[in-house]
Amino acid sequence: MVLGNPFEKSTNADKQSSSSGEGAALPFDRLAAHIADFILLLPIMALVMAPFRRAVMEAKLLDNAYDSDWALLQGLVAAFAVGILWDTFFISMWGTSPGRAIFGMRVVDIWTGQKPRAFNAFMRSLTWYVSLLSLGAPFFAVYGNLRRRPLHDRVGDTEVRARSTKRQSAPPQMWELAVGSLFTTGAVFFATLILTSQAFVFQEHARLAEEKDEPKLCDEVSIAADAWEGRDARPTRISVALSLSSSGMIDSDCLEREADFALWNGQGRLLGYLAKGLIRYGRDIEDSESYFAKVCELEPDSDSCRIVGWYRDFALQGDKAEDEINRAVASVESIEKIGRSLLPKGPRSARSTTTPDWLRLMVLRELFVQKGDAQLILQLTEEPARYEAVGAKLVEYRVRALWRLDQKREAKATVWTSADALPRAQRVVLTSWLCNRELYESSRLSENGQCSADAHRACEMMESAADEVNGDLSTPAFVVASLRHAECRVGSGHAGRATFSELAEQVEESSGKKLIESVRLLQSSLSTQPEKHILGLTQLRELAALPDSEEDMFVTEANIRLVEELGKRPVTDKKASTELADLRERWYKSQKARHYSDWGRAIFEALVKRQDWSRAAEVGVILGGEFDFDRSLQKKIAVAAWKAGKLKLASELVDSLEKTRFPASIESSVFSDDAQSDVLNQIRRSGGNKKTSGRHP
Amino acid sequence: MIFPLLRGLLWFHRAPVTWIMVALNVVVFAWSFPAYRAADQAVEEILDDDEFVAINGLLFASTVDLEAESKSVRELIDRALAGSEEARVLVGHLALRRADFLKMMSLRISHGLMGPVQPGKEINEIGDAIAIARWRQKSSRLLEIQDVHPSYRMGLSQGRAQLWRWFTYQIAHSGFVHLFWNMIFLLIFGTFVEHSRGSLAALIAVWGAGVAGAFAYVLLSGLSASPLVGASAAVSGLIAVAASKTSRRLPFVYWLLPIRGYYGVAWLPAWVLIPAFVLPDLSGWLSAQPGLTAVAYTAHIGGAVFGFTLGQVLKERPDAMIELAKGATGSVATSVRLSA
Repeated sequence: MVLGNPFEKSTNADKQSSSSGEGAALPFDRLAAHIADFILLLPIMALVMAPFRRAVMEAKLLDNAYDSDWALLQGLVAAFAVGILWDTFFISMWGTSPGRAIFGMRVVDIWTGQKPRAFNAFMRSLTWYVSLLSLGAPFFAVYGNLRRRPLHDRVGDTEVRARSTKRQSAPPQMWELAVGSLFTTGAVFFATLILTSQAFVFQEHARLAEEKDEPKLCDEVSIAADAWEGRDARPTRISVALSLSSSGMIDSDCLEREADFALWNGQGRLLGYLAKGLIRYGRDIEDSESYFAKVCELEPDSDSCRIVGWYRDFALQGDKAEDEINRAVASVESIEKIGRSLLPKGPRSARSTTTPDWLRLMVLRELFVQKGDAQLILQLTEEPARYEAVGAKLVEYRVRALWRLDQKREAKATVWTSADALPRAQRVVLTSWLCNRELYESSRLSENGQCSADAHRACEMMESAADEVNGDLSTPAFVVASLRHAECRVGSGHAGRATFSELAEQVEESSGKKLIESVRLLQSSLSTQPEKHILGLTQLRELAALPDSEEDMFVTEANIRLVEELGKRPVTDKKASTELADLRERWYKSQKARHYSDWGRAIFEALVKRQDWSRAAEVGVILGGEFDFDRSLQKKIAVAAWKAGKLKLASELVDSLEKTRFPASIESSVFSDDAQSDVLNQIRRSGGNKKTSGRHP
Repeated sequence: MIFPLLRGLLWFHRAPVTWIMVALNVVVFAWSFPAYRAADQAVEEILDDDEFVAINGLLFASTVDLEAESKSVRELIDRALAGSEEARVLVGHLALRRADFLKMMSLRISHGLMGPVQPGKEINEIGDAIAIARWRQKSSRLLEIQDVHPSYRMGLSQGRAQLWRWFTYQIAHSGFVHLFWNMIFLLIFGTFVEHSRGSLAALIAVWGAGVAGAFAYVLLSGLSASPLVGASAAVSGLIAVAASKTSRRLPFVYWLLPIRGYYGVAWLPAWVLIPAFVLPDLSGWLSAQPGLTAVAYTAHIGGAVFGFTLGQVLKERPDAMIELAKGATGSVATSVRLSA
C-alpha cells in the first residue's frame, strides 16, 4: 500500500500507460460509471436488505426506535458488503466493472499496470465504501489530487484509466485542486457532524429502549396494587383503580384504560362496566346508562348494582325546578341509606370489614359532594384504609366532616396527629386546606394583627411539607395561604417585610407578584403612610377588576382582600357600600372561581357588619350550596335570615342544624353576638309558619 | 435511471390487443369511479373511527390463534390487551385485512358459535359488550359497503373468489395513480410483445399472467379481506416475456448525470429487465409484513414466472427486431456508441 505519491518516481505502470496510450479517466466518467454500477447493484442490494427492511418495519410497528436503527445499520452493512463483493469480483477478475466498462475505463495496479490483485481490489473497494459515508468525499477527492487518485486508489495501489484519449483527463489545474480539496474537506466535516449526531441519536434510542415502560397501564394503579394491604386476596387492578379514582388520585383516562384491561382480560368485568359507566356519567348519559344496566344485568344483588341504582335514579329524574329540589333531597337520602348499609354491624371487636375500599370511597365522595350527613361521614371513615394514599383521603374527608360539624378542635387534632403519617403530597393538600380555613375564618386575625396559634401551626406544617422540587411552592393555593401567614408573621414582628419579596420570587404569574406587592403596601398604616396604603388599595382594585377571576386564583384572592378591606370601613361610608355591591355582583358571576365560598363568606361578613340582613341572607343561601359550608356559618345565616324577616328560611336552617344529630347544644361562641343563641332559640320556638315579621329580635 | 425505450410501437394498428386492453381498463375505471369514490368515502369514515378500529383490534387479539402469528404481531396483541390504544388500532387495521374476520366475528357473536378464546373463557365472557354492540353496527355497515364497492365487486378477496373474478380483478383499479402507471407499462411492454410475438401471444400473456399472478397470490399470500385488483400481474407477465430472450439487445433510455453525453439511448441485453423490474418484487415480498402491505408482490412474481415461461415457448417474428431498431431509435441508435 502506498499512501504517498508514487508518481514522483517513474513506475512500470507509467511506462506501460504511456506506451498503451491510456490516461487518467475523466472525473464525470468515474461518477457516471459508479451510478451505472449502482443501478445494476440496487436490485441485488434491495434483495439482500429485504430481511433487514422487514426487521425495520417490525421495529417501527412496535415503536422501537433502537431496534429499527440497529436493523437499518445491519441492512446498510449488508448492502455495502454486496457492493464491496461486486467491485472486488469484477476488478480482480477483469480489471473493470460493468459500469466502468461502459465508459471504457479500467482499474490498474500502479506497479504492474495490470488488473489489481484480489486483496488490493478488496481494500480499494472497502475504503471506497467507508469513505462514501463522508457525503461524496471520494468523488471530490478525484479533483483534489494531482494524479486523480483519491484515498481508495492509494490504499489499493491503483489508478483508474481510460482507453480512449477523448475520455482521458488532464492533470488538474491549481483552482481545480483547491476547489476539490475544499469540497472534500467540507464533505468530511459535514459527514463527521451528521455521523456524530446520528451516533448520539442511536445512543439516545438505546437509552429509551432500556427505559421503555410497557405496557401502557397506569403506574399509579400498579404501585398501589403492589402496596395494597390485604387480609384477603390481592385486589384486582380495577378495584384499586376505582378506589384511586374516587380519591381523585387518577384521571378518567387512566380509569378507562384500567376498565378496558379488566373487561378484555376477564379480570373484573363487573367493576369494568361500573368504571366505564361512571366515566361517562354526566357526559354521555345514554352510554353511561347502557354500562350501568350491564352492571345490574351481571349481578343484580351486588353492591355495584346498588351504587349504580343511585346514579341512575339521580340522573334520570325530571328537570323541573320543584323536581330538582325533590331530586336533590331524594338523592341525599338515598346515598345516606347506602352509606349506612356499609357501616359494620355488631360490636366493634367482632367486626370484619367486607366493604371494598372503592365502594366506601365512592359513597363518601358522593356524601360529601351532596352535603350528606357529616356524622355518617365520620362513621364511614373510622375503619382504616388498606393503602396509605387512600387512607389520606379518608383522613381528609374526616377532617372536613368534623369542620362542617363545627367540631373544629377535633378536626385540628386529627390533622396534628395524622399529618406526619400521610404521604407528602396528601400532607400538603390537608395542611394547606387547614391553613386556609384557619386564616379565612374565625381565627384569622386578632385585634393586634396576629394569627392564632393554631393557624400558625397549620401553616407551618404546610410550609414544611411543601417541596420546591415538586413545584408546591409556586402553586397559587400555597402562595395565597403563605401570603396570609406572612402577614401575620410580619404583623406580630416574627418576620421582616423581606418575607414578602421572598414569596414574590417563588411566584411565576405577574398577577401573583402584583397581589403580594399590593398586600405589602397595605401593611403600611393608613395614618402614618397613607400614600403607600392607598397605592396598595389601587393595585388591589386593578387586579380584582381583571376579567379572569374564575381562572386566576390571585385575582379571586384580590377580590377577597378588597372585600375584607372595605368591610373594615365604617357603615356610614357610602362609597365603600357601593363598591361592595359591585363586588357582590362580580361574585355572583364567578361561580367557577376557586375559593368561591371564601369570597362569598367575606362578602357575607361585610354585609352582616353593615347590617344589610336581606342581602346577607341572599348571599348565605348561595353559600349553603358550597363544599366548605359549616354549622357556624349556617347559624350566622339563620340569624341573618331571621333579621331580614325571612322566617321560613331561618326556621329551615335551624331545623337542618338539628337534623345533623350533633349531640352538643348549639353554641353561642360565634357571631361575636351574645344574643345569638337567644335568637336561635326564638327561631326554634317560632318556627317558619308563625307570622312574627315586624318583631325582629 | 434506466428505462426501456420501445418507441415507435405506440400505434393502434401495430398493437390492437394492447390498445383494447388499455381502453377496457380506462372505461371500467371511468364507469366505476363514482361508485368507487362514494364507497371509499364511506369506508374511510368508518375506518377513521379509532374506537371501532380499536375494538376490532381487541376482538382480534382476544380470539386469534397466537401460535400462527409472527413475533411482532404477537407482541402487538399483548400490548393491545395490556392497554395500549396505539397497538389496538394497529391490530384493528391488521384484522380488517384478515380473511373474513368481520363476517366471522359477527357470526360468532350473534349465533353463539364461539369457542374458547382464553383459558376457561368464552367470547361472551370477555370484552366490553356495549362497545362490541357499537362495533357490530359499524361492521355490518362496512360489510354492506363491501357488497357495492367496485374493488370488491370485481376484485378477488376471501369469500369472493369465483372463476370470473380471476379475470375481472385485472381490469379494476384502486385509484387513478394505480391505473396510470399500470397502463403506461401495459402500453410499453404490451405493444412490444404484440409487435414481436403477435396479438394472440399478447392476449395469452396478459390474461394468462393475470390468472397466474392471482394463483401465486392465493398460494403464497392467501386471499385476504382486502381485494386484489389491478393489471400489475399482467404487466409483470409482459415484462417477463420481453426479458425472456435474455441475450437479445433492447433499447434502453439511460440518465446517469444531467450532462450531455451521460444520458441517451443504449442497447442492452434483455435480461437487464429482470433485476430492474422483477427483483424489486422479490425483495418487496421478502421485506413486507404479511397482511400489512398494500402491494401484491406475490401476484407480480406469479405473473413474471408465467411470462418468462411463455416467452420461451413463443416464437419471435423474424423482422420484428429490425423494425424495432428502425422505429425505436433510428439514427440515435447508430450515433451512440458506448463500449458496453
